[in-house]
Amino acid sequence: MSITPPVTEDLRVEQLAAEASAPWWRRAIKPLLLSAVLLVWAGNVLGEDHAAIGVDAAAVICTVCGLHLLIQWSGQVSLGHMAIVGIGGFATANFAVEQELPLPLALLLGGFSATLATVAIGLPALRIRGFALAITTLAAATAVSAYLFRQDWLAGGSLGILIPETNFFGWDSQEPTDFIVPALIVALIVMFITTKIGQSGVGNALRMVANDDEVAASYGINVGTHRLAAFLFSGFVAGIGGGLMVLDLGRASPEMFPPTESIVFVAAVLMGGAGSIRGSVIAAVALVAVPALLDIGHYEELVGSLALLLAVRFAPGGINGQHEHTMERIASLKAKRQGESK
Amino acid sequence: MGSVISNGLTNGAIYAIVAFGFVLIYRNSGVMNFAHPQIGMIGGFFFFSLWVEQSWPYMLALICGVGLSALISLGTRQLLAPQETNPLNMLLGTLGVGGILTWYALDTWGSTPLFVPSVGSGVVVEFWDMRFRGAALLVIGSLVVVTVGAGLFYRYARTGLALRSVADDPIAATYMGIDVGRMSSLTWAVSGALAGLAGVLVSPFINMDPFFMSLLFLRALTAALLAGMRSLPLTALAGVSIGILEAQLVRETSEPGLTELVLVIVIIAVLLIRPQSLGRRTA
Repeated sequence: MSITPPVTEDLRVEQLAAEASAPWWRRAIKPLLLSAVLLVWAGNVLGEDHAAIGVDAAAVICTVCGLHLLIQWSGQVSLGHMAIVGIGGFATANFAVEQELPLPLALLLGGFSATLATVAIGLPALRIRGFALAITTLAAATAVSAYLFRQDWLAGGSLGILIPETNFFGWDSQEPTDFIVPALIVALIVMFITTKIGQSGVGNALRMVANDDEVAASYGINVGTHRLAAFLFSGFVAGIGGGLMVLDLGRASPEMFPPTESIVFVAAVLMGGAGSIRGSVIAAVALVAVPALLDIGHYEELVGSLALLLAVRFAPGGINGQHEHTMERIASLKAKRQGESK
Repeated sequence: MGSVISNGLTNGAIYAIVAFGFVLIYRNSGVMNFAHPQIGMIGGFFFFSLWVEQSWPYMLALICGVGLSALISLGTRQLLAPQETNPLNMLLGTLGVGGILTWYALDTWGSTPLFVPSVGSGVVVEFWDMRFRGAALLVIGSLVVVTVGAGLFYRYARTGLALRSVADDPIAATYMGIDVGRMSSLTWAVSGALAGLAGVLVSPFINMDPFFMSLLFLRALTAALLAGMRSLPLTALAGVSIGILEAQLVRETSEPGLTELVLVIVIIAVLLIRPQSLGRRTA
């Protein structure tokens, strides 16, 4: 057990400040290159099975980014996001089949439909918070899947909705090796927008509201608007996630969106930890990909619950917490070495 | 009308017994145990295995089922004890436990509904317009016994007094020499036993699959919230009212999921009108 010298904190801050003050094009090079490599690799190398996992992961990343903003930044826990994902999915299917809209437009409108549905959950959040809000969202999600998903006008009866159209900007939406490219692009865009919101004044305001809403209000931040906006954004991207799932499978039916699976998203966000979305995205990919790749059969359904329990009980800081811890250790080692060489 | 009231009364009594578990734990430490329904479900299945498959005597199987539920509940509390001061973390942790229990039940007993024969089906009590069979009488009798028994225990027993003082002010209770952690463990065990009792008693009325208690969850939660998460007699009243209203609703319309919709509207309304009924210690 060593006492961390105060120098290290300055060093870490300096490091972060240097990264932040670089011109935008220099900061953009690394993520853009990485994204390009990822897309080329995913589009050309991945086989059928792995591409299908990739599309799933892309859909979950969209949802988890929104949920990260909602839980980690705005401090509001939603336990019913699978219902919103489902509404987005069903809306996308309906726009594509009933209105015969092109698929990208249907996906976008599906996201907006999910946003509208989120208002119903977000409005009580203006008055209810914390622990009671979590219960409200869970209850609302139960009602959505028990009532709304059995209505023929939305869910198309017991067989669900089949989507015959497969043209997504020239990609084939029901061919995973093909669809993985647009799905990943959508996920990357969602990650980019979420990160930007987090770094902007809105992100700071959200964190302030989460920390202490009375102080936030005294600084002229409209607490209600920010809380509601966080819900609406997370609803929109969750809807997009649901739309991606539906387009990939070519159909929408209620059993694709079991309300109990909402906790997988929450588990991903908790495993990710506070701070940037990096941890949550890693956790989301792990929760989707690891069980699918390991082929653990019926243990797959156990993963979400177990992850949630372990994250709550043993690792409240999550992946980001671990990462920060490691970076601080590295910085303190560097400081030590500099001290020795002087 | 008679059948509506007798069915509603029976179902409502089950909802109330499940809701008691929520209320007891919440009163004790401001925590909501979302693994509660699944804990009862495991107890019900264990009872099924012993009574139907191994043909043990009814009472012995019942005691074992209830005991197992109490043990699981106690184990959940011990596992999550370091987080007990954070209700949100407890809620999430218990959700995880509930998921694991559901998975275990699916793995052990499968998802095909199991049929549990009714106990004491020869006994029929009729008055006014209502008919109660043996199993229904057992449910309603249990509710009365549990409500009165818990009332007397909390009112007169020394441990009951200790439990009330922990609920009122845990710090003052500690200074008076009361072991708050032990009281919490006791509450969780009792609550688990009640969940197990509900799981066993409800089994003749439904087809048992690993999700049967999740159906009761929303109804029990609404009953507990309507009673302000405090009073057991009020919870019993709320549970029975929900049961009767539901029976009436089911008779009037065949719309699926309508009950859930109404209950959620009630829950949100309760939390909007009286947000202080929850989050006593989170504020």
